[in-house]
Amino acid sequence: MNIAKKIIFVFLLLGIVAACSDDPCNLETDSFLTLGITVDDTALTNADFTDGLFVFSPEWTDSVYYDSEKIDSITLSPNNTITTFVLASNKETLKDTLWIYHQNTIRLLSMECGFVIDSKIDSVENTWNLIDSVAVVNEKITNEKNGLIEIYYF
Amino acid sequence: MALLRYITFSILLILFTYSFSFGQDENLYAQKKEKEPLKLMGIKFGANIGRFADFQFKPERFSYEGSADINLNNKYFGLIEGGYSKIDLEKNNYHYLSEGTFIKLGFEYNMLKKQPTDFLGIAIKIGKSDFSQQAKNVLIETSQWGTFETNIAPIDYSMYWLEASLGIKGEIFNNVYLGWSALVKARVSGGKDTNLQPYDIPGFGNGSKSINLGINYYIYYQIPFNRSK
Repeated sequence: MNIAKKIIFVFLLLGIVAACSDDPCNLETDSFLTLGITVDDTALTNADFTDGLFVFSPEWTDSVYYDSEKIDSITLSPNNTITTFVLASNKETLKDTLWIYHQNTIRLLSMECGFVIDSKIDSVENTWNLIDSVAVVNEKITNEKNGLIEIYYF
Repeated sequence: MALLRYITFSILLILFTYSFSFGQDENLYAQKKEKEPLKLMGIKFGANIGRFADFQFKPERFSYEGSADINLNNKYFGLIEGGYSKIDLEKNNYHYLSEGTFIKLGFEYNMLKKQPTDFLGIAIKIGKSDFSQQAKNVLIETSQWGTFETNIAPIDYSMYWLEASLGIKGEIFNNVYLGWSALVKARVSGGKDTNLQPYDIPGFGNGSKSINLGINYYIYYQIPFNRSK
């Protein structure tokens, strides 16, 4: 048997020794939006407005509360291109509503994790009961990078 | 005027250099070797036996691949490869389907001189794949909105790549060859979708990468021509 044939058989054997794994999903699959909150209104500050500040959607069963100058880990609706949020506080009777207009695309994250939803915020509308202004800082929302909307109470 | 003189001088310099080097070549290779005329030595048909490993290691894929080459002087080979691949991957949260064909055209060069009926050499190929993919029953769990369900309709794609390989083929029985080759494939164009990255492009491999490495295992049968015993 010449050298060429020996090499062929060695590689055939090596080829048989192969690994097969079905890895679990270790990646973040939710695409989050953060609401940055800035309060510079004496009446609201005195009333500890932010201590009881929370956001909810009419379609949710739970609310998400303010923590460290922001309301974190909220998600846009995958079923619609308009998501409605209500900003309320236990310390204040007035509430504000945000309407976020966005586009959704679905993307295959990995074979293990399946699909995720990416969003892009087109515009935001709001009521002006307590809110002074709203700015979209980061309009793209993916599983790797949060979107960011700054809300100012002046 | 100065420019004309410069151009004339440059042309003369090139001609002088060329004639000098030509003269040198003649001195160095006084005895000119007769070039062997190209002779058809055989036509080889092959099947990729590595694909059978899919049943064990990649059960979601069903594929086959074959090749044909024209052997000239046991040194130069014109080759064509083709195949089919189907992916049916069913997970808890989606059902991914992909199906397509591929074709590769190229040539091989045999570097062996002492055992000319065997092969140790390199190959360069260009490949094209046409495939489609879709996803059914896509379920996306969200922490606040519950489960979102959708489908992705079939989408067609074309993709081109370049492939280089180093391989070996040995004649294990009369006119029956067994061989392997290590491949590197580089995407030239196509086959990308940011929303639904192809899982496995027929003939190319992992659709999320621009360069794929691989190993092929082939068995061949050669119809011999002009074979001296």
